[in-house]
Amino acid sequence: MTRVKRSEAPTSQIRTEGKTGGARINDTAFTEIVRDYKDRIFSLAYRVLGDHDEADECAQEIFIRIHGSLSTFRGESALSTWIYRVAYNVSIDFARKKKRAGSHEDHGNGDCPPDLPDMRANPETIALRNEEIRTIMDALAKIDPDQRGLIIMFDIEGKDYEEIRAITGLAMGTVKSRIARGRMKLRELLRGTL
Amino acid sequence: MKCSSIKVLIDSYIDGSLDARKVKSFETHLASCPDCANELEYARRLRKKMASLPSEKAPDDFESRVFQKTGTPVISKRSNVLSVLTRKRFFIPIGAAAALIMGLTVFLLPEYGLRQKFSAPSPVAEISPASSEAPKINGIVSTKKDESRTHAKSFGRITKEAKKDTRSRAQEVPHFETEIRLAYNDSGSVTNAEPTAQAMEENIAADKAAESEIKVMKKEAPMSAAKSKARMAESPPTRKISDDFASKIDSVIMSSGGTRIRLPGKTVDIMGTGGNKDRERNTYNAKVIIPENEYDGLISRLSKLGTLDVPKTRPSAERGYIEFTLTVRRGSGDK
Repeated sequence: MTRVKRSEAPTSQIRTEGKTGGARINDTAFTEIVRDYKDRIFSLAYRVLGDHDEADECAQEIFIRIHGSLSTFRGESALSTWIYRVAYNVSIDFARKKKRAGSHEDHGNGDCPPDLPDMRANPETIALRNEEIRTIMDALAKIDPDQRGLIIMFDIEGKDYEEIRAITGLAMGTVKSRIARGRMKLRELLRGTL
Repeated sequence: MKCSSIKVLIDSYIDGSLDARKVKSFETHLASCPDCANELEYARRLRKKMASLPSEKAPDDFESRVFQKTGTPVISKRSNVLSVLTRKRFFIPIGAAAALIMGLTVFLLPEYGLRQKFSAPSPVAEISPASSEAPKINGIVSTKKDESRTHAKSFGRITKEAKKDTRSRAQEVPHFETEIRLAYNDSGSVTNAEPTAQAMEENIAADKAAESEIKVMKKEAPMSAAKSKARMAESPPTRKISDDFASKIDSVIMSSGGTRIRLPGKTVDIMGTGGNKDRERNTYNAKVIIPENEYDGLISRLSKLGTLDVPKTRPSAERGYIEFTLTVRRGSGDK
């Protein structure tokens, strides 16, 4: 599989000292982070949660957390890793809450379960394999959130094991085993449908 | 190898992380087991479909809602500072921080006769962006952009050593001139990094008054070492360090081959700065000597910069001064 690394922007130099110039840099940095990462973060949240409105709420929360803790970023990891760490943790928290609330089991009507992808997404999504995407997203939503987040990052977003380890803070063995278990479950869920 | 083992190893096989012995065993089994061969094909197909899922885009109003919720002022275009940092994240932090250290080194080294003066005030190490609109508060390291020059010339040793690796890119990089602004209040102690509104107004007024007297330095091409030496010969900086020298310091500007101290109506060039660069570790080490009673405050401020490694333990003082090494580093986790 060809993996394309996304650019590392902006840099790790987020300076936050002082109430005048420092605050201005912080605002500037945050502005650029939002503009550079909003689609990626929204996409991650959407894939984890499978719902447009929930992804919106989750992505907003992610950026609010980033804004609140930007001053604590000390360049000890790449900025993108730090941003994804926040995004991953918040998204998984949302997914766990959703799972506890039992929304997976409460599909309402069989034609449009609430945790399936919301097709208000971009037209390209609708045009391309609409049913197939719905099927995959539905299966993903049934996987444990911890495994789901890792599979999304590896198989859909193209991150490698090392990047995922850095983002999640998990041991490499844990990352690999969760991805492997999640894939096996995903294959079982999708068997005969694709 | 059994079919159950094949299912477990399929992902490792696709990833290419199986060792050669297992690969051989895996493929031998697949050649004689159509079910497992189909399973492998299915796993590959699923991987491809997963990888080709389209990305989602955030709603159009997403950005504005985030800014509204976080109280972030809307900035219409990318700032120069972060844009450049984005493109050249190695040089700017290193350069800015190194310039700070070099400036500190020059000011604090006893060889330049400043030890006595600096027993009372100390430089403040806060970083903020340069802007013509920004209030000129005391104690600032500001980064200024000058498109007319290349970055490769602007940071003396560091840049010279890094130049080999970046020669082709250097011509594209805007020049950054790091200016260390030092100022002191009436009592001779350093002004707070977060000055009161009154102090800021006073500083602004003082700056305006000074501007009428000071001929603003032209942004000349960085001095060569030879030129700087020649200037040194003409006006050695150690000769005329009066008691009120420090209180009159307006700024320090680093340039290749030396440091330029700007005083009201006067410019002094100083040659030589301590330090060396470790290319393997992407670090730059600089020696700093500072009065003992100012060590804790300075370390506290430098620690906040994030790109500096300061001593973990307080070095012992000798004759009232502490000598230590600062390490300017690239973000250690950056890739």
